[in-house]
Amino acid sequence: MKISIKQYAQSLYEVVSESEDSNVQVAIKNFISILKEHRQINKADKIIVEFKKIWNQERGIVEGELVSARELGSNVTELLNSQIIKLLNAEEAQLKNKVDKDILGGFVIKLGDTVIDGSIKNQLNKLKSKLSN
Amino acid sequence: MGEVISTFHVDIRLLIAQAVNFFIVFAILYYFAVRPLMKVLAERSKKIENSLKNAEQIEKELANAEKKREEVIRQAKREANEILSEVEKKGEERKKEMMAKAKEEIEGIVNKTKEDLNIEKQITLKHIKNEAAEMITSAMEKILGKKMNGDIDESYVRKVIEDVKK
Repeated sequence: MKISIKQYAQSLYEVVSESEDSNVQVAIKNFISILKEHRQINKADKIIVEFKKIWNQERGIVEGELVSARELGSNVTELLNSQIIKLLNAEEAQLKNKVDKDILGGFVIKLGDTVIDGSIKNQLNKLKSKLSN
Repeated sequence: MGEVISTFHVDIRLLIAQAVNFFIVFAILYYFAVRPLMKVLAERSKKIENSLKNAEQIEKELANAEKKREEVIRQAKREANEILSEVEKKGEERKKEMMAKAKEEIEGIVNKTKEDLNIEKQITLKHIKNEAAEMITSAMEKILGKKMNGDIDESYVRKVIEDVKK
């Protein structure tokens, strides 16, 4: 019987979540041994990606990218995190901060297919569009 | 009677002979000259009479032919007049049609020109608007790029968060 990547990832999640913190490493090693036995070690990267998805989904973790024109202070970043948690009804938000001077100011948050654009560049584009019509 | 004859020396026998001679000559002349001549004359008269009759007939026919010719000419004139008036009528109608068509075409050209001008105007206006929008936003971008700093940026971010909350 062929086991899919999703099924491997689900199994890994179940093993890891049920194990004690001290036994997690052992559980992972066992899982890798099984993959080797099944000659599926080349699928490890894909399984990890899928595992991460399941992990985040099960634990209410939202991953995304926060783009700003300059490094934002921790207060503002926390404020944005909490706002995202509230907006998406999540437990935790993990935003990777990226600096892009082209957006001039404000921020852009990318969460999967969703984009929250609060940048000055976007405001200027909207203004430009209004002036053109 | 005898006295008269002797007075005038009339010879009865000679007279009779002369009378016989006369009748013989008369008969010969009658049969060989007068009769054929009469016959020729009668034929001639008949021919002349026929010719006269023919002439009358020809005259009548000529008169009829003339009448017919006149009638034909009249008919032809009438038909020609009818054709002329028909042609004139058709010409008038065609003229009216052409005038109407020309008017329509002119109106179409005028409308098309107006539309083209309007489109041209809209395009120019749009172009000007785009140019103006580009200039304004470009200027604003430059000013904001210079004026923007960390504090202003953070306060702007806070404002946007507040707006999102609403």
